[in-house]
Amino acid sequence: MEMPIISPSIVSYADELNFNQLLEDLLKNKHNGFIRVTSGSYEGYILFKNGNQVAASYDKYSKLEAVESIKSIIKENDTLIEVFNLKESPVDYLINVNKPYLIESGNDVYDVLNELKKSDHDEIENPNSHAETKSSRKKLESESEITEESNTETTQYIPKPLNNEPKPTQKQTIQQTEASNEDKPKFTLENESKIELSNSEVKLKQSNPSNTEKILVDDSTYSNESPSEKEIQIQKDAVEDIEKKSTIEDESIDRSTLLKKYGIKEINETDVENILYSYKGGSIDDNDVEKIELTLMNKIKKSILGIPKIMSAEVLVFLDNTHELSGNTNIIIEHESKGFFSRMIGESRDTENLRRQIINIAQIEIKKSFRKYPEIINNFEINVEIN
Amino acid sequence: MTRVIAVASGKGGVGKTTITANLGVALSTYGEETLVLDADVAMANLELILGMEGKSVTLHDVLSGDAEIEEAVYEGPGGVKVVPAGISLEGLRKIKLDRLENALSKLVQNVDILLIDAPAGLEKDALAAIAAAQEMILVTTPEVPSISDALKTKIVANKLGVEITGVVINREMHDKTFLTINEIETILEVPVIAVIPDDPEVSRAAAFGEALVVRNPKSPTSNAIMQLAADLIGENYQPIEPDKKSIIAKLVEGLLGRR
Ligand SMILES: Nc1ncnc2c1ncn2[C@@H]1O[C@H](COP(=O)(O)OP(=O)(O)OP(=O)(O)O)[C@@H](O)[C@H]1O
Ligand SMILES: [Mg+2]
Repeated sequence: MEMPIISPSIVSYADELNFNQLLEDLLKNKHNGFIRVTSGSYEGYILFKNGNQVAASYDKYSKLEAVESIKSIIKENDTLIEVFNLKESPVDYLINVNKPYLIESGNDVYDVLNELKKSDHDEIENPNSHAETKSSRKKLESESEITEESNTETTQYIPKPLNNEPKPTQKQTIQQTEASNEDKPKFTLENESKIELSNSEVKLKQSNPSNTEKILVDDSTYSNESPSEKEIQIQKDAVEDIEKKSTIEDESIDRSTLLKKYGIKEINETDVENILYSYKGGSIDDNDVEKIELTLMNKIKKSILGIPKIMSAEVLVFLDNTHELSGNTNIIIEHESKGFFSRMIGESRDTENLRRQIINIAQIEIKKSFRKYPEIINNFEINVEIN
Repeated sequence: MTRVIAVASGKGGVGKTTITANLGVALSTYGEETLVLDADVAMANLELILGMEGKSVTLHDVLSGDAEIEEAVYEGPGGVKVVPAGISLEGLRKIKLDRLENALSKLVQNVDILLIDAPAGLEKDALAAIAAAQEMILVTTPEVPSISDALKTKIVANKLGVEITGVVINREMHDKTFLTINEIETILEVPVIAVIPDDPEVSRAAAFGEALVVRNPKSPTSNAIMQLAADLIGENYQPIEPDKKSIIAKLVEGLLGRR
């Protein structure tokens, strides 16, 4: 199942804990979150909503079958059980993304819920929507490169109704014809623009039926004029009427009304800070670096101390901002009654698990701190020393 | 002292490259030693517009450390110097943006004006291009998404200490459904320094790999760009008017019904 990487509230080996009791407790406490059960290289998950088991996976099993499998491995000594707490809304999100694992509860509540939550979920799912927007932009662009002069492009040939505008005098129109015609001795402008116009009309009609009406209106507006005049007139207008347009407009429009009118959001400080933060080409100064180091140290330390049986933790973070922002994290922890674990399983294995968990936690904290730039994690070296 | 001007927008496809290329040629024709740099390594097309594709050494090579910046400077129409980006998606990851700064500091030694065609968006490559400049020309179309992105770009550029020279409205279509110049100025709080009409000749010129200001110097679009270039350097510009004589000739032709 798709589960978030967060730090567990309870970590225990199966033999230290009564699994059935745990399930009962979770039900009683209306637990929201999930448990992870690790045995060898197999992982199982049970997702809880208000204490109820709503989804499960284990190895290749899902749903109730998975729950049964999990219960069966619980008897083994080296099975690690971790309990993770979540708020209710992330649980709904997880329900939504883990549909194949949902334990049918005999009613359709969850399905309905899923549908309801869909819109929320989209937001949660794309914390990095910035990047996605970019890639879709690129896609769009390459498309438009291929279909050069297709739909969107063609709109530029289509004259727009100019109902309120004074029509240029005959003389003006002819002058313009002259001007634009200058460089094309082979074709007369009429021919060329006629072709353009009819092409674009056809394309527009195909692609965007709602525009057909507009075109028809245009044609009637200009029924007495040749297409070339129309096109030229538009070009001419675009330039000449700039001043006219700006004087026609109400001079005293205030900005906030305009923003509202066009649904443009005022850019807020934090957005800008985030954008700048993701830019590593020198916008982070040395003071910032120190601040980031300190924050990271505290955050990592705090979540490591959340692991049971950790007695103390020292976290040191060094950032290097000379080229790309990169970092070095050294974590030294003291661990309680190591012998207790090693009684059951190999000591090295136990330590390895813990090390992995600590690295995980540190990485999560780093990623959380650089939300807009999670790839930063690749520039971080994390060392863990366990005493 | 070299002026380093970034041409940026936020939204993609609004005409940054078109304007950079033509503005570069225009400035060169006024005698300014001008260099245009395509900082959009991922979507390079400045060299296509100027008919200079297929150059062997590109900015891409410089940024990947495989060439010196001097090797990547070519001469384009009107004497404008061009540093092509080089179209290559592969190996983009290993590009170090701080090399851009190094490259730039070498480039500016021999030029009056360096125009940087910034990539769209506000990712680090775009920010690097903007931050490398002292001034920025903000390009937008008169549509909401473009203006909204321009606003964001403006604010970020301000934070980066880059002065906004002004807004260029591109693809003005004289359409009531779009924002007016006044509205755009009010929203962005930046003066509009040029309005460039929507002009089918733009893509045609690009397809031929010719700069519009060279190919169609008499068009309103070219005049708008030439005027913008003149304003940037405090020159006077007389829009190229059509030849009077031939107008009359054509007028007569028209009256004689030969149309
Ligand atoms: N004034 C104009 N009239 C008509 N078409 C235009 C105009 N300006 C630009 N275009 C067209 O719009 C498209 C995008 O232009 P351009 O490549 O210059 O934009 P860009 O901002 O550089 O895009 P990108 O974000 O991809 O770098 C091109 O096909 C170009 O021919
Ligand atoms: Mg471009």
